[in-house]
Amino acid sequence: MRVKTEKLWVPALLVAIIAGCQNTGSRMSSGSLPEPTRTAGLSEAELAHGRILLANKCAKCHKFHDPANYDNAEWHMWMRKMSRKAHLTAPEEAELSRYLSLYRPERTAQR
Amino acid sequence: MQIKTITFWAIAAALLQSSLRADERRFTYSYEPETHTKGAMEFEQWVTLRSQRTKEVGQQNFNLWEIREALEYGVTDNYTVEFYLNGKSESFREPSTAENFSKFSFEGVSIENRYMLLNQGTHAVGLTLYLEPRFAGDEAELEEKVILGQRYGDWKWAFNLTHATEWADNFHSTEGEVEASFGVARDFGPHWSIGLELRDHNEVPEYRHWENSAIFLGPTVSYRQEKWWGALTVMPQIYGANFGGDPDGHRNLELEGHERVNVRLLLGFDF
Repeated sequence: MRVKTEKLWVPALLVAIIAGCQNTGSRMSSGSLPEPTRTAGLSEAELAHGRILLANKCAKCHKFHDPANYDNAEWHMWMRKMSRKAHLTAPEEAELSRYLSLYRPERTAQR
Repeated sequence: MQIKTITFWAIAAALLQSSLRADERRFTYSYEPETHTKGAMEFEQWVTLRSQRTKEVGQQNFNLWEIREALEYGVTDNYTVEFYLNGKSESFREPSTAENFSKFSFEGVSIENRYMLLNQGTHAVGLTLYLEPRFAGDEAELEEKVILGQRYGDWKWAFNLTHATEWADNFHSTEGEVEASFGVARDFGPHWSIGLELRDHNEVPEYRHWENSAIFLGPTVSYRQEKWWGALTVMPQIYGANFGGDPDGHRNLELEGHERVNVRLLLGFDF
C-alpha cells in the first residue's frame, strides 16, 4: 500500500483538531443552557453533575424545553419517556429529575 | 453469488424484524454532530439510488442501488460505533454492443467511529470526528469526516467535510475523494422536518489530478416517532465538470463518475 506525503494532510488536520479541542473539551461552557432559578439545597457537586447529565443526555439531542412550562402530570410523563429513550440508569434519572425540578416554580416542583 | 445475495438479505430481514427504537437524523448525506447516549442501540437501513449517466461513457440507463444495513451502539455518551454490511446492485446498457449489464455485489463490511468533541447543547457549535474503515477482500476504503452543526429553536444545520481513500484492484489502484456537504432543516412540530441539502463530491484518481466535481442540491424530509425515524433526500445534480475533457458529452453536468439524480432513504429503529 503506497502512502504519499500529499495524502497525509487530512490525518494531520484531524490530529490537530483533536489536540486543539482536547485542551478545552472538558470545560463545560454555559452554551445555550439556562441556569436554574434556585438551588433548593443541592450541593455544588450535585448541581454540577445535574448540569452534566442535562448536557450529555438531553441538550446533546434536542433544544431545552423549560420544565416550568409543563404541569406535573405532563412533566412526569415526559421525564419517564425521555429517561427510557436516553437509557438513563435509575440513579441518573433521579438525579436529573432533582436538578430539573429547580427550573420549576417551587410549589409545583414539590408536588 | 446467489447464496451470498440470499444470506445478505436474510441477515437484513432478521435485523429489521428484531428492531425497535432511534437517533433521528434530519439529513441523509450530512451527518449531525450528535452521538448516541451510552448504551443506546439502533438498527439503520440505508437505500441509495444513483440514477442516469450517459451513453457516451458506455452506461446508458444507468442505475446503481447501494444498500447498507447498520447496527449502531453508544459506547459512551461521546463515542458511537456502527457496524455496516454493504451491498450494491448496478445495471446499465452498453450502447456499443446493445448488451444489458446487471450485477449485485457484496461490498464488504465497515466500522464507523464517531467521537463528539464539542456538545452542541453547551457550545456555540457541535463538533464530531468520524473515521470509517471498509474492507471488501480485494479492495478497501478509509473515510474521515469533520462534522459541524448546531440548532437554533426549530432550525438545524450541519456541515461535513469528508476525505476518503479507496484502494481497488487488489490494492494496485488508489482514488481519493473529497466532499463537502451542508444541510439546513426546520422542524414542523415534534414529528416532521423539512430542509435542503447541498453536496459537492470530487474524485482525485491516484492523487495525481483532480478528475471531476459534481454539485447536488435537493430537498430533504424526515419523520420521527419514539421508536423509529426516517429521512429522504432527492438530489439532482445541478452542476458538474470533468477536468480531463468532456467524456460524457455534457457541458454542465459530470456524468462519468456521477449521476443526474441521487436519492437516499434512511430508516432507523431503536432498541
